[in-house]
Amino acid sequence: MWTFIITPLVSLAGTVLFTGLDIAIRGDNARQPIFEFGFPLENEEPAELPLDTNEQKVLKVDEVGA
Amino acid sequence: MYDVDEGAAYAVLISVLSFFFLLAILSAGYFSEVLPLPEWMRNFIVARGEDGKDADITVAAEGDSKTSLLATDFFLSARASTGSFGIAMSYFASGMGAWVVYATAEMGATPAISWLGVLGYASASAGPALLIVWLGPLVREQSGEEAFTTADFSRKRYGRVMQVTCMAVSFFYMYIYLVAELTSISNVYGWLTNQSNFMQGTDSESYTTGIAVLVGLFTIAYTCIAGLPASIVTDKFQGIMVAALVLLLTIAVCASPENQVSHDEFKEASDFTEDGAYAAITLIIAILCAEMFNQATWQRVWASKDTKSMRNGFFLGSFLVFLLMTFFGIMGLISYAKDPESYENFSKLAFLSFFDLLEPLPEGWHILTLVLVTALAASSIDSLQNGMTSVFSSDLLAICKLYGFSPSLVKIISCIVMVVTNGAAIKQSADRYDVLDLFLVADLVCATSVFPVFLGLLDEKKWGILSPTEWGAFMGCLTGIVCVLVIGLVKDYDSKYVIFSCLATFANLIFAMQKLANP
Repeated sequence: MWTFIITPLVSLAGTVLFTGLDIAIRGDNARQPIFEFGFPLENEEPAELPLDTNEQKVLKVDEVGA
Repeated sequence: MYDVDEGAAYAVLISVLSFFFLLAILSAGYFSEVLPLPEWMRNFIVARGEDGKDADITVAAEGDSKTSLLATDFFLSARASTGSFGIAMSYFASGMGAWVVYATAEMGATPAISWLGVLGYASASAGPALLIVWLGPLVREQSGEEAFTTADFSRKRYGRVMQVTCMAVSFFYMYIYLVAELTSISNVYGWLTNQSNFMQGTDSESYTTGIAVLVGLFTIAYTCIAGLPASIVTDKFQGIMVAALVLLLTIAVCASPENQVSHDEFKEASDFTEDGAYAAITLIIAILCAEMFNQATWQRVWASKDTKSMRNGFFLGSFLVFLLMTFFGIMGLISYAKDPESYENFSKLAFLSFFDLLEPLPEGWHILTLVLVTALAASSIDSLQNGMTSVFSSDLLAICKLYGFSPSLVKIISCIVMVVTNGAAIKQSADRYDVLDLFLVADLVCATSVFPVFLGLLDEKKWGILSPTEWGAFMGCLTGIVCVLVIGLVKDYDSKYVIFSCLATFANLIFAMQKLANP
């Protein structure tokens, strides 16, 4: 019986602890998915990910071109 | 001794499964135009989509690509098609498998557990539906109307890592459930045809494996042809059949002079014990955790017409489950009251106590029990088959849309997954594991992940760190697994657990440090 009581409670504690650590270290980025790949679900908004340097450069060139 | 002929048992099995097969074919819209069915029967049998038209699963699949996509989606999800009665019967029939003949009866026939065990098991089995009455609308709202399972909820709420975690846990649980179902139905057929259920490598093993193969083949056939809508339609019939047969059996078993027990004998068998309370608590926690990963149940959340149908359906289903489980528990109590000495000295086994009451009845009742058990098993197995493939549905459909593949490809892949998993399950069912032990392992795996997944329903702005990040949720699941290993280590003190536990903890730490170093 104790195994079934302890296990979910420990996983709950682990979840809260590691979520706290994650938010403390990564800030708002912690709420983003760990990996972003695959196929979007219907009506799913694309995740707002920070652009890397190369993408920013491309964006700037496009903006200048426009 | 039971004297049902092996051939007669096969005939019962094939007849009942053929009936469900035909029903499934009709529900998919095949032959519905040529059969002279009255309108009320058509409404009851043929699966209907959101717009009220016939499912047209076969016809639509041959139409243009948009219609074909919608038809495939309906085939996989029965989206927004089922009212309260259908949901109730579907939950009742798919949740109650052949295992119920053993499980609660065992509780009732074990005096150390007795009433609290029976009521605990019945409440535990009925409880998940009540939880879904509460959580179902929330999950459906957060996942969107296009989702299929809670794996899609995990994907949308967290990301790929938690989706895969949820998929793995769900698939594992449903697979174990499938093995348990096939084991149970094989055992019951073996038992009633007077075969040994305990000796491996004998003729009886090939007989019971044959039963499992037939059940697997028929259910795969109609699930592949007609999908989830057919499963829900057959569930309605199976639910009604089960209720009627149980009523008949109750009257027959209780009316038999050999099964009469005095008030004092029954009083001696029924007790409220401390062990019973422990068993009840364990079962309630274990089954609640596990059923949250039963995607066959979650599919009904999206299959219901609206929130009201969902709530009413799950309420009624929960009540029916409670009644059935309690019925078999009371049968166990009566069995023990009838012959306590045999149970005390193990010349009779508690998990077979229901069959003890059945024994004095004429052969016809034994055959009726085979019909009941077949209906119980088929309804659960077809639902599990659909549930197991549903975890892949949204991604497979997305791939088809993205690359322009025919949506029928999703059906083919689902069928392949079904055949492979059922083959493996049939093979394992021949090993004749203890059904209760199988469930306990699966329940424990689910207990490691239930909070990490469903805490995702909490609003992050309101609940802060109680609303997990994907990383936090995943680590929570790993923490649960490490906890199980540590408990196993403390209890069993087995060196292989020590090594595995240390490795798991070490890997966990490395992963955590790496992630923290490179956020």
